[in-house]
Amino acid sequence: MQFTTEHLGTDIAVVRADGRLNMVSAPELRETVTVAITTGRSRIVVDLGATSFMDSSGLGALIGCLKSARQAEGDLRIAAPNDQVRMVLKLSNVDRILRSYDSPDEAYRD
Amino acid sequence: MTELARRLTTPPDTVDAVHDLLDRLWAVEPTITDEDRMRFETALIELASNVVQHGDRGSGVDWSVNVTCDPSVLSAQLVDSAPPISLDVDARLSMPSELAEDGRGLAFVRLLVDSATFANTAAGNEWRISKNRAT
Repeated sequence: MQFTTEHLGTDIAVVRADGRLNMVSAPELRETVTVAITTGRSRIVVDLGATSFMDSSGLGALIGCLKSARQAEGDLRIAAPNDQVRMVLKLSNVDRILRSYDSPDEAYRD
Repeated sequence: MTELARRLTTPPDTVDAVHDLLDRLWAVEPTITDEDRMRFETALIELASNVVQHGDRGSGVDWSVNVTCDPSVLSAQLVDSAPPISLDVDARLSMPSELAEDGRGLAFVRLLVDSATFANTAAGNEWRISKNRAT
């Protein structure tokens, strides 16, 4: 799993998660998002376009990051989840609180 | 019928070894549907994560994974050498609230496969899951 961060506008960080988001990689997602927030980018998009798999550990990390972003008066949104990730979001009812967009560019258009 | 198995020791092995085992199964059995793959893989990885998180009491844990595919059923057996645990599987059925950061693993397992059982056996703590294949 590899995470890369790109900046969008003045306060948005796009975190691209490439590979499997499971108990091995979940701590690194938390660290990557924490760095973005502490450097002033509290509006986060986690780009899941290259994420092949997510389990409950990965989901827990996403929710922890969502809480951190909101505490910093920002938000966390996700983009381009595959069918397996959508299944996990729906089974857990987290799709009710974690908004999903087709691409990172669309996540903060509102 | 295809049967694949791996013996693992944590550390250093992680759940990624189980993903790799399943990738081999998908390659050998290309007729398994995407829906069956993602439900079975998600359930098995939740159980493997449990072993890695709770089975290692400081001196590591030996564990094994067997996966079997026949024309109608996908099944798996996961055994660890950790001290026997008592587990009320039914008590873990309910899904935590949306903002919870953990506690979903076994709830997912029960929703994703057709059968999930846990037992203390002579070989160790044993999980068995099975998923009927799409027809």
